[in-house]
Amino acid sequence: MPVATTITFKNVVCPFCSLLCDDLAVSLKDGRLKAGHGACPLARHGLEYTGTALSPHVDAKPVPYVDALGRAAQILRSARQPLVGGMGTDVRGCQAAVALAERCGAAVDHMHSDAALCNTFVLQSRGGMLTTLTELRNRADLIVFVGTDALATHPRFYERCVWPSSALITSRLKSRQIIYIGDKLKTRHGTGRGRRGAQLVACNRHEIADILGALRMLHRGRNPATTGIITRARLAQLNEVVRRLRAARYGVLVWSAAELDPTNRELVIQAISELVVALNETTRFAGLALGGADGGTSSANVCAWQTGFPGRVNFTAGKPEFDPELYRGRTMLQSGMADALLWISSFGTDAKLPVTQVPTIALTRPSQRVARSAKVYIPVGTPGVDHDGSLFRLDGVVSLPLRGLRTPQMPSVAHVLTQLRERL
Amino acid sequence: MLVRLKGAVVYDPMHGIDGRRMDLFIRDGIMVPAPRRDTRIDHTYDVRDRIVMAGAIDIHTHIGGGKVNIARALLPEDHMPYAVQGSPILRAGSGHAVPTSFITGYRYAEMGYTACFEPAMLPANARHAHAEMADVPIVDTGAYALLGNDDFLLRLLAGKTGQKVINDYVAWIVNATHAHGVKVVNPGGISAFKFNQRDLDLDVRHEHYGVSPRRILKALARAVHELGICHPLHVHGCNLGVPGNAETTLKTIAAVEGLPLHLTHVQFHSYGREGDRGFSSAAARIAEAVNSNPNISIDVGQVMFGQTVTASGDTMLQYRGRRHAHPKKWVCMDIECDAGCGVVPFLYRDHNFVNALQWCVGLELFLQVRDPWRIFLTTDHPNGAPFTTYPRLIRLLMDRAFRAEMLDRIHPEARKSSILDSLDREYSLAEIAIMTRAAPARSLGLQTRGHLGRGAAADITVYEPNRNAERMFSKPALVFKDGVLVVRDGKVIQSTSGQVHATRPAYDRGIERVLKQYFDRYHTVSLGNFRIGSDELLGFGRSAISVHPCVPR
Repeated sequence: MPVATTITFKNVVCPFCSLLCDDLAVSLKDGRLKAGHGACPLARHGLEYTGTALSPHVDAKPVPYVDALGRAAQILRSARQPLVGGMGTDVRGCQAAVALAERCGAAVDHMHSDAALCNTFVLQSRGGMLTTLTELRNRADLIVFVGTDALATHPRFYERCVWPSSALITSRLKSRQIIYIGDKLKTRHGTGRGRRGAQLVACNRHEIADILGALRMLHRGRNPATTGIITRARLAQLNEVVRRLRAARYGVLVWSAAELDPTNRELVIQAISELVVALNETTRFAGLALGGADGGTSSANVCAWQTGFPGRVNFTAGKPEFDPELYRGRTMLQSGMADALLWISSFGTDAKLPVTQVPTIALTRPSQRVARSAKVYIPVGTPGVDHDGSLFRLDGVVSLPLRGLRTPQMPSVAHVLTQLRERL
Repeated sequence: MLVRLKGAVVYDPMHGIDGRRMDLFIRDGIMVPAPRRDTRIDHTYDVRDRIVMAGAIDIHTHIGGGKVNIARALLPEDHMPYAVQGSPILRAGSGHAVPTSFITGYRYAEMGYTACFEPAMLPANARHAHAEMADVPIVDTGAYALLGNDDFLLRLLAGKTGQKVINDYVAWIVNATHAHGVKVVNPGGISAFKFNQRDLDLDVRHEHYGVSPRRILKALARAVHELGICHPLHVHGCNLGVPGNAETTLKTIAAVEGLPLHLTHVQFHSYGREGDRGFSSAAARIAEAVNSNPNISIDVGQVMFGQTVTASGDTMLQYRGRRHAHPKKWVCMDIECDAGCGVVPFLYRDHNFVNALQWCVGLELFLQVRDPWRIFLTTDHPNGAPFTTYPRLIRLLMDRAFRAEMLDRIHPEARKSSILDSLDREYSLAEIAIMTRAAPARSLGLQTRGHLGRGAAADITVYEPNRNAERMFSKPALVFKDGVLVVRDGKVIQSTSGQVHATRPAYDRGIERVLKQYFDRYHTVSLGNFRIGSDELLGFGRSAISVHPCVPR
């Protein structure tokens, strides 16, 4: 009997949030992965996940892979308006998904697009000034977190980017200050080793836009009216914030669309963008949007270069049509516009499968729950765990290679979708 | 499989063939000499009286990577009205100024182009650029790695590091990113902008690193030369678009002291500041400098009127140009202590004095640079105009009457201040074949492309002769890519995957220790993951990596 050996991988790229930390140690024993050095809770959860239901299912019963594929093809063939949702996959998976959508006249929408598209809308209305992680890490002397502390979605953001042990411009790291705007934020992470604490502009989520507007007015040398949230005391605090903003050599405003108030987040992002642009008249500032998990940034990039639009594209007319309202996946399912769903989620462990009456083909990590609820269930491998691939980081510029760590028991999303396409 | 093109009128400048009637033979995708009389010919295309050239090569076109994709995301209005149906053999897509990847490949092939070089691949964005370009069908692709604003190099230069280490670093980057050449954009300026420096002329020092653009330029030009990378340092100089920048361009030519240099989109760098409006053409002076310096080659970056988008690594100048954005939105991005990008949509109007004069400047350069082997046809796609305007541009060069007609339509003051009216030159077909085929291939060191001699890849374009050059060049009768018929009557009939062109200059492995330390200390990506493996590159979907030899000097 062979002795079970442990293999240890170093410099593993973690695909479980869009920070893509690439310094993880992961060990493999008996086909099971154990997260070591550098693993945050998200990485550990993702890497060590072991789902059951490794076999494809049709109508909640295990079937051979080809039968599941055949049934899936049948569903897509007979649908008038299929929806390719989820899109939780790597670059190659996204490419295969767009190709499939084109072939069967489907719409494409990523599971986190409600938030991501707010950034897109602001970009498409006025553009913006942006930056990337290595810039922030080395150049920033002021970081303003707007409505987020980054912790829930990017647990290692501080360690990797905000408080690194060294930076190209040492003085900037030494003098680096953090400001938070919002509520329920864990501001203690904004204190570096032996450094002064972060400043907090405490306000409710829905008040952030007003705060940013006031900051921009103060920066322009105008006094906002002291009404509502802008009290006299508040004004004094905001004046201090503006003083710091103007004194910064390279400031970064960080936000996460998903954590902003859904009723006015576009307004907030627009206010951030305007403040950044205004500050650049005299000094340097840039914005950095967090988010892009579950392959969100990859999906947006691939959709852009293949279709011309960052998502919510419909191929029902044989050519790409972009309509962010009409082709919102959830709305299409609720309104009955979509009559079949292909759901892709190869990173998440809860699969986020929408509840819907339309026949559903689910390509997810192994999940008994999904196997029971989807019409057709095909378990797929996770990029960077079960097979090679690549993913874009949250800044949309850097992409990293992912390496399979164990012998794959399940096919990749790209593989399944390519075979499915051939059957249409 | 042996294929004959019968009765072709061949323009193959690499072999001195200027409109000679002959048969061409292709065996398994390669050009072969006429076989013995009794050899069985599998297929014959009757191309009698048709004009045959090698597939065209675009030496400078922004077709893949971050800034192009940001431009797409920024501009749904550039895509919604320009959606293209897919078909059983072709993918759907969209776009006018920045078409989607598939459409880019189809449109290039439909104009008889078979290779395209992305000139501004940020090393930090190289994986993306290659993955995206692998989705550009039919044409071969290649890219120049962008250097000269990366903090690593600027630190080397600030520390007065010797040339040897710089060469090692440049070679490492070219290998790690599968680049074909090296480009510098606004040397030091993109970095200086991150330090809030708003302009940087050739001899001004970078505020933080204390090095001048001249120093950066010389170090990189020398590195490319000594490493033996065939294509000279590809230079987007200082002060793009600034009136009076011709002085800087002339100083840039002098700065490299005879080393080979390729100056790109020179139209944007050939401005004087004479006249009432403080903006004039200095094309004659630049052309004269190019004519008298055989170490210099240029591409023009011709402006053509209409809506487009400018996408550049030059954040410093794009930020300055934001005021001219049309529609009113723009993006500037600082990237990875590596470089940056700026995307500004733009509408070139023939009734606008500046735009009209820019149009004249480009044509003046084309008509006054005498050696077609050292001037390449580009619009700096999409910055001066989308590449789909090439056939019209060729007509402007070949047809003086058409040029005069167009000249009559532009802003009268621009017309008056340009000497274009007095330039009689008309490009010949042979000269067009040089500047769009033979010369780019020679400059890029592509030994089996850009010509139709024995051993060449069978990248062939067959044109129906037409007195209207725009019509002729926009709709080839046949296009072959590596011997496969991909276009008939100006339409793609079959899609293929092209190759990646790359060079592999040698370097001392010691540089990796230095780089590893740098990456570990400062970067957010490890050195090992920064590098792109050959298997990974091929996995993106290209048919092969074509590695071109370096001859260290």
